[in-house]
Amino acid sequence: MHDRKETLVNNVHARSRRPRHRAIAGLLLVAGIGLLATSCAKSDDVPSAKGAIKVEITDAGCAPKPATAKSGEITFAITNNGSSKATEAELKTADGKNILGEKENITDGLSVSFKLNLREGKYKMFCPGAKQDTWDFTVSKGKAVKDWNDNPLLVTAVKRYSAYVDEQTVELAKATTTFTDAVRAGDIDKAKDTYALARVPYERIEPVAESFGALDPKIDGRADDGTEPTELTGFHRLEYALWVEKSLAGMGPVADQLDKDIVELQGLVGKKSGTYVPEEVTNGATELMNEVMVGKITGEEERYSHTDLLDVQANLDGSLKSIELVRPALEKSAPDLLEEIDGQAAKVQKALDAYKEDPGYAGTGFKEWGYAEDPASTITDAQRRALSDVVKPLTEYLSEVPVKVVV
Amino acid sequence: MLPTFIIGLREGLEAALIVGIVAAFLGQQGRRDALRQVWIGVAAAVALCLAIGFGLQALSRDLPQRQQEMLETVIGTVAVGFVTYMILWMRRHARDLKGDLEGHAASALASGSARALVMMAFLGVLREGFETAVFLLATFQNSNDPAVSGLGAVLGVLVAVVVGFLIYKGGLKINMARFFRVTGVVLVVIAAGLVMSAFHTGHEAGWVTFGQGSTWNLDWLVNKGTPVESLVTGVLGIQQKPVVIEVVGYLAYLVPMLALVILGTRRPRAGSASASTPAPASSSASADEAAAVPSA
Repeated sequence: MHDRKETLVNNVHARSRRPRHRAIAGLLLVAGIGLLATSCAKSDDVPSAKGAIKVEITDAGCAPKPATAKSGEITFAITNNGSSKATEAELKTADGKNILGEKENITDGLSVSFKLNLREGKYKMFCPGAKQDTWDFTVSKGKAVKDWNDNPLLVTAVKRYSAYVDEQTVELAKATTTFTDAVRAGDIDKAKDTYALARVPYERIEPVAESFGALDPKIDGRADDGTEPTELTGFHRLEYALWVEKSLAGMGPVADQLDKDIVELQGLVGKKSGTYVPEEVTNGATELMNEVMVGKITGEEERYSHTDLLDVQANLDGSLKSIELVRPALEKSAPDLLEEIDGQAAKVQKALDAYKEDPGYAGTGFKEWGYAEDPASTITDAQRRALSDVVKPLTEYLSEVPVKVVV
Repeated sequence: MLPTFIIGLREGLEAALIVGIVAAFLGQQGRRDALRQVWIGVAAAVALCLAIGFGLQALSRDLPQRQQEMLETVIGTVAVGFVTYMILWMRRHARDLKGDLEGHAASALASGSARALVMMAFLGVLREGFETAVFLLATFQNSNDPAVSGLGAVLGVLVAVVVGFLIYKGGLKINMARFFRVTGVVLVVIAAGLVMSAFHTGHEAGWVTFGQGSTWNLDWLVNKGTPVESLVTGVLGIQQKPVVIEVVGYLAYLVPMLALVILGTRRPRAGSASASTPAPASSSASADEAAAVPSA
């Protein structure tokens, strides 16, 4: 009985020995790479570098000298001069709750350093074991951090972005009036053919429109935002009337309100003109492609009219406009990323081109799309996937842009 | 020489302790095969730590302190789980494995558990290993008196290794049934110390930012710069000035576990042998592994 158990145990071991080795080897590798990869702190060869705060650890304490500094990157050069009791130095927040920088095992004669980016405020230098283990350190306001205004490439990019948004808003007002005029005239065919076109400028600058809070739901609110289609205002109420109710009865006031909202948007955009920052330009590029991923490929944006493909084209154009504007800055800081974006954007355009048609469905220049949850939709899951497969990498590349556009 | 010796000893003890306990436990179970794996794992961990130490130096980069503390916190937490598991396992098996247990022991410890213990020994060395390797190299290069400082640090580590080996040997000699009674209490105290260290390193890792109010000054016990400090901090995990959360965590682990260990072994239940028969060794490794990793 015992023997049999022993054999079983040994068999289990014989079988599992190999994977165990592999697991250990794997862990070694992961731990090693992980530690090397995270070891971004380049050690300062000359701890007493110019401008460094000197911290001398003795049995008595660890007074930082000087005990004040200007905000920004601060190097702490720590030396142990004869203390066997204190061998550790930490820079903490004033409340002692957070350790911002730390070195351990600094025995007599060792010199180490760490660098921190500190804002103005009060801090504590802490050396457990010393007679006085906590010492004040104060950071005062340093010279203003360099910002994007110092980079002429970004100043130009932002200025042009502002102009682009203004110009698109004017176009939006014009195209919308063409559409609402058809609605008011009760001309269903013309309204259908101008609906998607009116939305193009809006889809190009949607992140800006969305930044005004309540206005975007009024203009672009959809039924999936929790409202009955008949209670909507704006584009999608008219879309519902045209394609589902197939009647424009009572839509005059809705058209009027849409015009008013667009005018209001124009006013707000005009006020915002010239106040944009580079992050808005670059984040906008990602947001637009996210819109494609979330709302257009599924077809839920234009679930009644099925005109999503033109929206996608508009989103892509708006997104790439932002990239075009920051291109000179990106060429300097991240040429590789720029290349990836260009390549992937071309793939997205190619995927879209496959659906192009003249004059196309509902004046869009594209074939009809459809809502994924509509059983009557002729668009297959494979088609949706194919489109999302090219859009997704582009979105990911674009999301790297904001951090790469450096001052 | 003394200061570097003390740090070498402290860092070394923290690793030697876990390895010593794991090895003694496996030795008690007559698992020579797993024991060999433990030594391989330890050697691999030491080699890895040295490689990282030299690597960082070659690239003239610092050991990222925060990541180091994160590593220590995670492994420390896992170690608490392991030691707790071992305590509970022994508590269960001490009852029915009274006298001669050579034959039973090998099959009692399922293979998945043994593998997990091997991994624990490996992680136990890694926990302090990176820091110790970097420290050793630094003492040889940057100190006022490299030969003496370096020697002190190396001696400290060596003494720690010897202590770990003694834990292993001592653990082997004790009779299994008594092993638990004697060692159970010690293990609980050590695990509670691991809880305290984990809260301490967790704070240094930036994860634990609450309960940092001060409690007592244990200067008299944790006399910085003396070998006693190495032992108290390295083995028992007790900090010089523990903060509120460290004390709370320490007691929250220590009190119930001690009660369990002391009260739980006094009254051996009759006929418990069938209730706690070890799982058959042929059961699937993955199931054993799941059972072998209790939450901390």
